[in-house]
Amino acid sequence: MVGSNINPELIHIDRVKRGIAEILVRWDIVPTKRADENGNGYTEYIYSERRMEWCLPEPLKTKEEVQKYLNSIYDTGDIATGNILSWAKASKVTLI
Amino acid sequence: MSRRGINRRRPYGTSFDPSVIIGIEWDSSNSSPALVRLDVNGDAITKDSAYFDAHPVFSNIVRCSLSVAGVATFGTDGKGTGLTLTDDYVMVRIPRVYVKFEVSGTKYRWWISPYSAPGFELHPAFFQRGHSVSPAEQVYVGAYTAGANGGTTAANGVTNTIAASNWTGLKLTSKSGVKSLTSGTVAQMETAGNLIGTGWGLMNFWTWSLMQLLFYVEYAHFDSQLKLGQGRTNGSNTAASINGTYLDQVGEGAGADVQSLLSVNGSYGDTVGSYRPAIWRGIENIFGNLYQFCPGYNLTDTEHHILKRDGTGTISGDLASGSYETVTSPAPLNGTDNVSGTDAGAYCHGYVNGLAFDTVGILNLAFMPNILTGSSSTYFCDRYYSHQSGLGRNGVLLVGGLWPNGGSAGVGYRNANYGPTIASSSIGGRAEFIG
Repeated sequence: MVGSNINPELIHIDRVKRGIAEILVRWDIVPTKRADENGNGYTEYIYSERRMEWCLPEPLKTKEEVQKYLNSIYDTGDIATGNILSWAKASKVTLI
Repeated sequence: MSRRGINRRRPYGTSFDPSVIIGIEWDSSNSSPALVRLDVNGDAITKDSAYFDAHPVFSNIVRCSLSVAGVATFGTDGKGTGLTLTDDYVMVRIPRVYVKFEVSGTKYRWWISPYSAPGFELHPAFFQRGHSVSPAEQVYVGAYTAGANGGTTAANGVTNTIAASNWTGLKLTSKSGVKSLTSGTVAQMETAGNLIGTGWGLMNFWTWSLMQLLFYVEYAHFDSQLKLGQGRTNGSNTAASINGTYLDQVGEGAGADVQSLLSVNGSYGDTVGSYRPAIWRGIENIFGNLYQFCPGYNLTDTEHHILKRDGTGTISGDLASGSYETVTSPAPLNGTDNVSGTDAGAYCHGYVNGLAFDTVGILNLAFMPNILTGSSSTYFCDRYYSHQSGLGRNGVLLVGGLWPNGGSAGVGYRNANYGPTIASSSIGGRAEFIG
């Protein structure tokens, strides 16, 4: 599990190169009360995360457009062609 | 200083071979902690562990038994096979390292070289403790967090460490099989190091920064817990471990000797469990287990005070005027007018995703956190606690992280939250000898 003091974006875009977005996909984000080293309370966000590449379907012009598109298929759409969350979770599955 | 014993590794500093110049590139615009390895020309390359185990710098980072006068006896390998690990000063030698740094847009690049080469400078660590005119050939850092000889010490509550009730005559040690010394101030710990002899003291800021750089170069990655091991960072541990052992409190090992687990280069880590020490090239608990004092870096509300790179400063917990270089821009993170991550009022904290750099270049090798909106899996992957605004005196630096720190710990973990009077059963240190 990943921890952060910052409530993370569900999809974070690191870069887009030649039509492929390098993204971080997050899910199961749980705000958790913690105490820092002086005993003061703060919220740490605990979550699952997967770094993956995602082929973009059309020449989106700006990072904002890419973000909007990726957000739109975060957990909706056909599993085979869209639905990023499904792909992210599946990438953690190992079958022997 | 002369050296004796078995040391068959390639001598260093005798010829120029550009293939041993190796660097890393961090693209600050990308959240990945993975770094690009660079050759001497700045081109991306790949290198495996065998390259580093034969590299003139890394292959000479080995354990030894050091006399007070600085005479080293080496074992037959990096982990010190053949040495008596219960000797007072079991140390790890780090040979001379020359460094080069450059910035290009969002990309930051560091190179290391065993030789002087165009554009390279000797790392500041080799100028410290009396070596401003004649830089040392090597730095020795404790293989273990420091124990104690002399003075009056006793068990320190439930933390499985020892505390001193009388520091008179107390000297730091670096040996297996003993409990670590805690609950002293950074000044007391530094004095206890100085008492060993000339050239001795507490691991200083530039030594730590050198180790951090070498670690990043070897693994080409900022996530030390992913690449080496979790270290003793599991919150269910309620006490520090005895040097040279793993686990004591929860279910695994019960104080078992860790030496047999080390690879011949002296490294060991468990990337799944978090009860065993992270050991990098003979340096046990390089992170985790106990916080380590790191004298040579103080913070005020508005200034960084960094031990002078040229070695003309005097190392102390609270650097005196004339012993440090000052950086005012960027100002240190604090809890009032320069906040990142979680604002805790008088200080802030969070996972590091940006470093402080100044126009003069004082901070180029310092790895000083400046942005705290990352996570345990991105950027530097380790936590930073900022300077605490309003402290009556300058803040001191703790490094590495503690036994309950979990994913917060690592070689990038730093804590500048306390003043120089802080003393705690969770804070120890590590001896060093420069000569």
